[in-house]
Amino acid sequence: MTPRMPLRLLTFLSLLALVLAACGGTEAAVTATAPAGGAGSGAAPAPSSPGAGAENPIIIGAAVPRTGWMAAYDTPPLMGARLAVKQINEAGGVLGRPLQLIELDGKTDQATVGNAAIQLIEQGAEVMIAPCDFDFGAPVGRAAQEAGIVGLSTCASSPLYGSEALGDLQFTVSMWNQTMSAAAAQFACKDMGWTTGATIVDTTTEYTQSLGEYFVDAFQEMGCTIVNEDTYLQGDMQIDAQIQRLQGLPEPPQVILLSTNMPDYAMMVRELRAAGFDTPLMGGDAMDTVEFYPAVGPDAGNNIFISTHSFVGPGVGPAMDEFLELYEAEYGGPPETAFAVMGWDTVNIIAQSIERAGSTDGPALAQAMEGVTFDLLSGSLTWSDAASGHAPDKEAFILEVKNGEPTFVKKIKPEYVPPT
Amino acid sequence: MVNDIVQFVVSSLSLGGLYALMALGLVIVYGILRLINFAYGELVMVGGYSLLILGKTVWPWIFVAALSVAMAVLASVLMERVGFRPVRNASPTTMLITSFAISALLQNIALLTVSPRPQAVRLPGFFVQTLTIGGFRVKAVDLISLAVSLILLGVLTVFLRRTIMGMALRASADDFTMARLLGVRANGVIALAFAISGFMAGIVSLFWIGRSSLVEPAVGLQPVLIAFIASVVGGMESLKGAVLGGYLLGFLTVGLQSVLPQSLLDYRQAVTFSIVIVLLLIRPQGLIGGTYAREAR
Repeated sequence: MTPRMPLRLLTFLSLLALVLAACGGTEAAVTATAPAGGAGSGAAPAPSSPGAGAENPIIIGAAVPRTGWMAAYDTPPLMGARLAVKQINEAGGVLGRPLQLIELDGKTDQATVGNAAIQLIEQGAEVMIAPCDFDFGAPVGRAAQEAGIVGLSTCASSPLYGSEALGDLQFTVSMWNQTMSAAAAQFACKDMGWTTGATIVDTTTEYTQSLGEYFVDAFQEMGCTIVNEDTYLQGDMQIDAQIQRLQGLPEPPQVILLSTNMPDYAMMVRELRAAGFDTPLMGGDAMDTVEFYPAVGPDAGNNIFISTHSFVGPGVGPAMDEFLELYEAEYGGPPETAFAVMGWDTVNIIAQSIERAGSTDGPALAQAMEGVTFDLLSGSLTWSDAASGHAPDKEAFILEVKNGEPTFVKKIKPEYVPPT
Repeated sequence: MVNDIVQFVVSSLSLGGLYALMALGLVIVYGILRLINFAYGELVMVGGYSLLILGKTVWPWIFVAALSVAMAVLASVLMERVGFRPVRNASPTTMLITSFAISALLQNIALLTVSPRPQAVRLPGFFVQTLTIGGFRVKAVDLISLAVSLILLGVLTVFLRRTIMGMALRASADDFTMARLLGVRANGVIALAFAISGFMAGIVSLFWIGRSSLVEPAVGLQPVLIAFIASVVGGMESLKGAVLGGYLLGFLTVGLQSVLPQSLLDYRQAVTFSIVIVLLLIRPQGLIGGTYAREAR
């Protein structure tokens, strides 16, 4: 009646579990990859405006995760990108041709997102929008480079995201982590006078790891002291040992930099607050998500500072107010987070550069993007040439979380930026 | 130093207790059906989404939490009735594949009907509060989860040893055919095992999701993996083994993060699993092997 499970099967399953667990935090990708209904299968062309003719459009491909944990970072830019395409088409398109956005879900899986890019290129994509992270953006960047077209990551901030690692046609619209970290360090060490710092750094992705390393570099360079450096693995969902180590320090640090992704960011903040640390906490752009604020709430969501791309709200400038108005008219509510402006900025860079280059030809378009200063919602941006890596020269926004809500503090262009 | 040790013990016991509950929920079903129910993680997910949806009402949190646990129990019983009963007499492999299918199905239902993105659930303030007891600072939620896991383990022990239903469950786990011949109703016992499994998942979901306060479709994956590893280490066939395995894994997780040098911390999981592999090589049947009958003696 109840045959016993053969030992061999058990052994196999144990091994399977070990392999799955050893993959670190990327487990989410293993199961959260089922087709998301009609939306997930096949390219879903963005609704183009009725005015723009559908003949001979300029096709922009967007191979980005819309499911899995990266969806928190890639969905808002996509909303911004769709809005920008609509606006540009209403204003007459680019070179007399309308823009068309074709999208495919990358499912927070590196192989899937790379294949999605290849498929979009086969469908005629002339420029590629890549995911908001180096680990997931690189497969898309490489596919675009191989096809000889320009690729732009909306917000990958790893310094690996540039022409050196991916090729001379690849760019990121984000600042690099050096800037993000140095801005955080300068704010903590110089502006706030917090002279001792500690870090808890997720070593699972390039982004999280380098953000922590550059913070330590810049914080020390500015004359402040790092009293403890600790690591974390995505998906652990507990930092008991890290907290113990912090509690064991002779003097508690005056600021703690956290570097991970969501949902782990919310867990870290909550656990630190639960353990009695009222210390100011700092985080990178990955903290600035619509999920983070309600997850920390008014109980744990105070005295937290985020170094990120932009701030969507009043008090930033007239261009932002205009964007917010357009966004609310289109979607019936404000953008989830500042990441939305990254998609808007990306499409606007593409449109302006195609206009200047006169074509979508990869090398010509890339050349039209280098050395030019773009005035964006996420601050001004200038890329260096391909030989020096397409390094972005950009400023960071510092936000403060009060009662579980983000508020704008200031923009910082750090005096010292760590070398790559 | 004393402070460090107290904190280490409290957080290890709290995490271990949570892991033990996860493992128990898995083993109690395995004991009877010889089925490793990989859809167990989705019961944690059901608990979490119930917390999310019911939390939007004005009801007190404790009531919402109780209802969420009830939802996980209901989901577990339904899972058995709809998914596993039709294939109960098929090979273990068929049941295993069925559990994967149910897992994928439930995750995708959540993905399509709620959101692929994490959602924040309403939690009471004590989840982020600290208590000072005799000069030691500990997380309030650690003490609560510690207490809850100990109470549940105690209640379950009494239930299994002192009640007719509990004894029927143990007898069935020992020798299902014999138990049926002696008049134990198969459907009832199996449904009971799934109900207990769902209850454990429901309790686990409160504390697991309480850490980040976020629920997402894949939220149950980590708990089911932990439960599986803990129960394999402890011994798949024994409830005591599951509890022991859970606590062991809890101590290992916190302990290694504390004692490993900084340069080796990246390899913490590798070290954890090396220890697991060595344990399995020495005792392939797990730390505590055998059946309930042998346990009782």
